[in-house]
Amino acid sequence: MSHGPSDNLAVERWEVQVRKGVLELVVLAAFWSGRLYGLELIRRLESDAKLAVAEGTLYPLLSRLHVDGQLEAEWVEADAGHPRKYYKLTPEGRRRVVKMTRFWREFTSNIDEILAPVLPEYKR
Amino acid sequence: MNAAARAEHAIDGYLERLRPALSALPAAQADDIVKELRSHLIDTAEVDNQLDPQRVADAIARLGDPATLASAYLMDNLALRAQTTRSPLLLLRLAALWATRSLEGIGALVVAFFGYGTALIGLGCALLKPFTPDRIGLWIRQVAPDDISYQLGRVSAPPADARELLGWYIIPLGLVVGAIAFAATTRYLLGKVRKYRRIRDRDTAWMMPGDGT
Repeated sequence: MSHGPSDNLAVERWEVQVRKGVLELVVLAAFWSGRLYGLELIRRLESDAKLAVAEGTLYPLLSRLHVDGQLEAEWVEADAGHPRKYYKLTPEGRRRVVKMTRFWREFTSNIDEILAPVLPEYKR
Repeated sequence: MNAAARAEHAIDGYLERLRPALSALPAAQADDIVKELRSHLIDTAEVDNQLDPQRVADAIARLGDPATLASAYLMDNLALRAQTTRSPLLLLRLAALWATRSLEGIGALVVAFFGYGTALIGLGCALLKPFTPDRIGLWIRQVAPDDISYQLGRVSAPPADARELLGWYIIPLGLVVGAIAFAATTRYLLGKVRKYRRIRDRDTAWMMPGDGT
């Protein structure tokens, strides 16, 4: 193989950047069909998007999106015996996730053209 | 102490270390964060309504060091509030927090100190001059044949054998220099905040399952 460790490192760094770039979109989109509390969101991201987001990253992000007006929050008494903090999209958050999703769809379909010859077996 | 009590003790201990690190936030917001994380830890670590000490320890480890977690909350919240209020105190606090995380933050803190310091001295001299005219000024003194010393600001008594240079001009000069230093420093720090908010996800630590193989 011609690729060395530095190649792998460069690719890993790039992957990290890409994931960071879509984190906000993915989190907002996860709330599209209803309210979730933090742990539910973490599990949803893992099961539906194969994304493991560190708790220490996710909770501050939820707090920022809340302060920023993209999410609203409410405490709900649960059967578990302790209250849970649920978040849901505000109208502003809904508008933002629509815009971001539209951009994402157009962006990926545009670059698919260029990527197609690289790994033809991935072609849809 | 039984296992569940030990586990609860571990949760309390972690949150007690987190709470003071959040004290720069409004109290209600900091309490809310602590309450949410308590709920998270219990949900993560409960098995059949019983807290499992090992699961508690794992869940706490995933949240990470309390100071690091707190600074993740603080940076975004302070940045947002600093942008809307343009408060120098918030900007200073943010720069101090930032200085613990990066070299660029240390630079911002140094600029903030000197900039707001200059503003304070300039405006202070201008405002105090009418009340204690003899004790506010810029004095120049020949301390040695080839050595001149300057003293600016408020003194308890005018230095002996020194000449005061500015007189009443210290008022307009102090106002102008102070205002410019204040505005420039605020502008610089807000620019830093904007830049920080653009790149804030740079430190985001997360990964996909199967990574690292």
